[in-house]
Amino acid sequence: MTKFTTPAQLTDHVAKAKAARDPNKVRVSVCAGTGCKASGADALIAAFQAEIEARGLDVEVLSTGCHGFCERGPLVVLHPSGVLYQKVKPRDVADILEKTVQKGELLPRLQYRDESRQIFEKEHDVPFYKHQERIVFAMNGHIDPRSIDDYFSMGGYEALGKVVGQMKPDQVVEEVIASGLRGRGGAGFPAGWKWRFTRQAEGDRKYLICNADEGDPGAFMDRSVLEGNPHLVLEGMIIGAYACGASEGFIYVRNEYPMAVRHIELAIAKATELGLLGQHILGTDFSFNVHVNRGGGAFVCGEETALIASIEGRRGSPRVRPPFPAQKGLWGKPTNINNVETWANVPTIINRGSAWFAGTGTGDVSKSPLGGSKGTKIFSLVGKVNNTGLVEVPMGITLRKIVFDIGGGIKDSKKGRTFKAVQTGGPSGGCIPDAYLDNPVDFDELAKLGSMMGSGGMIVMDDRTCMVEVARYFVDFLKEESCGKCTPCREGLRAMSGILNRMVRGQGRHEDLDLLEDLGRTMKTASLCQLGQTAANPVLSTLRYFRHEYVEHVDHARCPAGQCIDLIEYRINEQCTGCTICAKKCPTGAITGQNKERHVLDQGKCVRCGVCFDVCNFNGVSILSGPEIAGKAKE
Amino acid sequence: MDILINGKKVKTRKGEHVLEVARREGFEIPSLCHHAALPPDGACRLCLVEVEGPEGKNKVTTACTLEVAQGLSVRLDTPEVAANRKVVLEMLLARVSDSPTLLKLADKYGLLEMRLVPQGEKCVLCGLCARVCTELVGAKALTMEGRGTETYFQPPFGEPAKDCVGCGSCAFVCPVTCIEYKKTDRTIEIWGRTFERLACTECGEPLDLTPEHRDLIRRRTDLLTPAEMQLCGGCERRTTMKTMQRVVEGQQTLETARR
Amino acid sequence: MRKIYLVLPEKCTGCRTCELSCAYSHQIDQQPGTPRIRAYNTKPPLEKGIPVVCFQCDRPACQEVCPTKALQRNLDTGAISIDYDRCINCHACYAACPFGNIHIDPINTRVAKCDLCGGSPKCALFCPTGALSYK
Ligand SMILES: Cc1cc2nc3c(=O)[nH]c(=O)nc-3n(C[C@H](O)[C@H](O)[C@H](O)COP(=O)(O)O)c2cc1C
Ligand code: SF4
Ligand code: SF4
Ligand code: FES
Repeated sequence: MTKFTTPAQLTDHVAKAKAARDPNKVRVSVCAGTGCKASGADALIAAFQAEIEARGLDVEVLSTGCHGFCERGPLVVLHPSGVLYQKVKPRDVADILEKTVQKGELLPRLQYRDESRQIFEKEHDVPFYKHQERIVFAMNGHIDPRSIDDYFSMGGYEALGKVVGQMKPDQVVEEVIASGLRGRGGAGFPAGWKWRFTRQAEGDRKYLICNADEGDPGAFMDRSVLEGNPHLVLEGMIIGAYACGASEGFIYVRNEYPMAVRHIELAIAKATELGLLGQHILGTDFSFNVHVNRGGGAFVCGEETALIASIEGRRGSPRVRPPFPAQKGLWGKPTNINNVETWANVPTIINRGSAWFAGTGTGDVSKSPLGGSKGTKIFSLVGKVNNTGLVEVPMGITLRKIVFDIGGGIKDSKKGRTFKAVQTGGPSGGCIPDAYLDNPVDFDELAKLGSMMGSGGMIVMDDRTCMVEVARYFVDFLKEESCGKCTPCREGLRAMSGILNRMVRGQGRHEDLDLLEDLGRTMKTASLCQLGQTAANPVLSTLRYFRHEYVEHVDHARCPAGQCIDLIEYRINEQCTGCTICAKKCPTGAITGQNKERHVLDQGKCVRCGVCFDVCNFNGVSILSGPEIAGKAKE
Repeated sequence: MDILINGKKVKTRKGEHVLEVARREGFEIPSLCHHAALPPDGACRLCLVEVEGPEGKNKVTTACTLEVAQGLSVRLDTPEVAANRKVVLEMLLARVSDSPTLLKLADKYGLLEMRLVPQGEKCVLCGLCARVCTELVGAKALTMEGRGTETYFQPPFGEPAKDCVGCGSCAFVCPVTCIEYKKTDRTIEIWGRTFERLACTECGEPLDLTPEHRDLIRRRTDLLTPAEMQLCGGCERRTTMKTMQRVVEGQQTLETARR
Repeated sequence: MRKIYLVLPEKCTGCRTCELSCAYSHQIDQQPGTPRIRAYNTKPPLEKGIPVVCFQCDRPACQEVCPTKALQRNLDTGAISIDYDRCINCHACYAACPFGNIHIDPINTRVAKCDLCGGSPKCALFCPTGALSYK
């Protein structure tokens, strides 16, 4: 392929590539995202290739980006039928090709079953996928992220051809504003407005940044987008550069994402070769280059001003805004910074039009993009649900749908576990209780509930999760990750951490509750950057919805959820059938007893790991806490 | 451009920040990390003020970083400001409990009760030392190291400061005087280093100057010949006096005296 | 028109009234500061005094080496004066002045120099011989 020298050439090429893609061709799509790779996707792909060759089949093996359902990996989807196989091993390959591909028979052993053991045949019928709506992830699973031709064949770079060929930069900016697209990296600021500020700012040079720092523990949506469809992000950035008048772009990827770096670098090289990047893009006066920066991986380096400092080679500490990066960013020049997912939405908005995008989601953005939340959001769904993984859902979906339909409900609900809360927004998000499960998920609604969208972390908690412990966990994380520059964040987190660590040991005082609120309020109002301003959310939101749990801890040294190990005791009760499983599993040998006789637990040896409770099938282990434990009640 | 501070109209220039304007006008705002010769940094968060917004949507922010703007109106002592400032002070005082600077502020701003566990630190992490050393002196001997509660301003890796020139500015600007700076007859000790003091080549009296600092100063101007910066103030003045005497006595013209 | 600070050494008798008035008009913590002007008694044959004080140079070395721009010429008086809010007491100006006209006051260890008393130099006011004048 040679360099495209006009937008029309590109548009032509994409149209042809789209037409040439045969929808009925048999394709075996194997997820080769980081999750599935870890469970052996590479060997699986090799096995498919070898077996297909040996059998002389006309079947294409696609090594694709993440499908989202990593927990069940390696995942295989057969196209065009859409049959989903999970946890596939190389030894299954021959069977799949012979039985399913050639004869059309299904292999029940590889099919997905939900908790009630119901089988789901097609990928799009599986509840995990059924309620999702995929804009950003639309091509994941259908293309090889290393192939620009695959991207072309799905209509990739069509938007770029349209933008450079037919639109003025201002028109592009207005289009993005009209779409109502808001930033997916945290604050939900209207992307188009930021583009307009950058476009209008004075400066001989302007820069773009793609924020792929993704510092939230457990979050990997940005990684999956970059790994699974790097050209989509790149196309978004090129369109953004055209609109903002930027000449250089930086993709700041955390160092732990080698595959994302490889794929995006490959995409940059290929796009440059074809004249989609570099000098005189598509034969016009528009030039744009992209570099990849590797971040050290501190959480705070995801904050935009800290990230900019880090790219400049300085310590990654946030600085006061204003001036905003759009006025003074990288090396003092106007800089537009957006999150990976934000960039990845842009090509689709251009292709399908702002009216379509603005028609989705919640609210009305005809007057201002802040009027609603549009499009989709990818969440990293983890915790005590049956199905975990990456889910892309329409804005406005209810939490209940995410937790109970997509997530398949609470894990171990048969054993009586119930939903308690869902934590959204990463470490500095808030916990939302069941009373709000039917509230729609969007930027403003989550903020109203004392949480936030953040970059899309979603942790589901069950009744055995202690909310004081949850707050302690996040506060301790943030205490380490605060940059240490400003007083309220640094000292506030230190003080909160001290208090909460006391509380979970039963040494809290009632006055601590007011103190926590006082500290939290000042951290919120007086901190320099959003890390500190939001760092009290885990504490304030749990205090707001689960104050009674705090009160139990401080007044009675009792942990109602039975999680705080210093406050609880496991006891074997009369439900015990003497099945011996707990005695076998107890790591310290604290449980003894004869077969079919009620077992005994030696408190002296017990380390309160909870294994007995988890393995018992007869509710024979109870958790006691506070005054229930004789002699341990707080006087 | 006029702004309102506690309802009083005051004149400002573009680019000024509320803290400096307010102080010039005689208002009091506490601060630790502000220094007139440095751009604002907003680290200590003590200088809180309330900005009046539309429809009563007021916002508490730091005066040192707040640039003046048309129609800006700030209040210095609203209940919101007072409450948050008190908690920030409480946090600082938990960190460094024995600083007279902080104790005085606590007194002044009504912090009566300490609810937080004292940390026994000496430094309030205002960052002035490192900023002064890097941005003004130009020695770049100090950096911010660590993260979170384990943050320190110190020479790289906490080792003796290899780029330090012993000027002592850091110790001078420190609001809680926690930088150890020791001057003896012959030496200056700071940041794990011991510097020789230059001695007057005339009378031998020690100068408040190290050879390293002298070299750094020379790089800022072409006025100073190597012959200069060798004498103590007294000997320099006496030389000046002698030159003047020769002029008065007619042995030298003013032009040659001026070089 | 800006006034001129005039030194006529030939009129000086070395009585050191200027030093005294300077010390008292630049008090530090209610104590007289170290005078910024010195009147030296010369040796024979010329039995008299020579006052040495800041020349407020056209191109001041102190100003050039100051890293904080704390030394600026006061356009009303013509004096190079120290803005103590900006000064970080690095002693660069003290080191740089070729005439020894910046000193470190032992009371507060801060650098000090003649500021022409903000427009009414006390030395000139009290000089009994007219060796110092400001007009
Ligand atoms: C402590 C902190 C961490 C952040 N981490 C990230 C991150 O990992 N990825 C990201 O895209 N944005 C992160 N942000 C948000 C960025 O500052 C910035 O708002 C965002 O990159 C802008 O892009 P958007 O408008 O497309 O969301 C973080 C913000 C804070 C305060
Ligand atoms: S809020 Fe926290 S992370 Fe942000 S500047 Fe302050 S200390 Fe650093
Ligand atoms: S004494 Fe050393 S560390 Fe301190 S400001 Fe001077 S050069 Fe920097
Ligand atoms: S003086 Fe304003 S934050 Fe320190």
